[in-house]
Amino acid sequence: MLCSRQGSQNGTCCKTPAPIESSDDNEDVWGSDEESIAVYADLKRAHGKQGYLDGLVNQQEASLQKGFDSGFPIGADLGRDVGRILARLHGTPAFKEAVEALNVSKVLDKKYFDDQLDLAHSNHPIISSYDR
Amino acid sequence: MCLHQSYAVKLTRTTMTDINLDTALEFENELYSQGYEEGKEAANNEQFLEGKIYGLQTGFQRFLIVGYMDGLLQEWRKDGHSKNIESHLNQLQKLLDKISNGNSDQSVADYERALSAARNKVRVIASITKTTDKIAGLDKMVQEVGGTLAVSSNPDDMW
Repeated sequence: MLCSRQGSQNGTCCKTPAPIESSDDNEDVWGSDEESIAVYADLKRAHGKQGYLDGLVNQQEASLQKGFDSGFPIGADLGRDVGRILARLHGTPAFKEAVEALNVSKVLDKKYFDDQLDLAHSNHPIISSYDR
Repeated sequence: MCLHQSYAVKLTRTTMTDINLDTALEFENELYSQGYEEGKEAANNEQFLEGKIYGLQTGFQRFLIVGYMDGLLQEWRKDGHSKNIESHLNQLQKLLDKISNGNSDQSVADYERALSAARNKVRVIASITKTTDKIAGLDKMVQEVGGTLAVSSNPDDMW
């Protein structure tokens, strides 16, 4: 983990200072200074790591969902267009070729999209070629 | 980012009588939040684009059938039929108009309901107009063009 307030004396993040003498009446529950550091490090590992994982997973899920919601309507429009074309060509000699040309892998080919996966042109080249 | 030193200091100096559960929990929460933010930063545009590809494919697959039925409707209209067929065609049109491109829960529910009713209507019209060949191999064709996700696992939905 990054630390902007690195301890200057020995380079340890959030360095634990030497314990102040405790009163005789109270036993220091944290034991020696070394043990104190160990307890702190364990806490940081356990909670910081869990937080990191949760942050990573939640953000990934949120990003995935956002991407899905953004792509779905574009794909739906293209699928609808392809379905219309196929219904029109059904029973004609051009049908078989159209089934191949309008396959999902051809229509959604990366070359028709920009780097954010939006259509590079308002009209899809393959679909336009079938539109009367 | 760095933990507040005061927390670390407090922990090491705290004696049994000073232990405060709230302070300890707050400290743990802070460690957690710190990790959470770092994890969030690690998830980037890659996940967005990955989701977008999946959305594009799924949208394509689910709306092939909708477009195909709309295409059939237009073909049947061109052929010109009796008034009886006309009312069936209008009902099919209404069902297809209910299907929107969105991915909200409401849109998906509307899609499922309208699609199922539209399928039945298409079967009826195809039967009357003797054009059942248009829908005989439809599920196979949808699968071939759109990939496997488009095929319903419900046998009642098969043509």
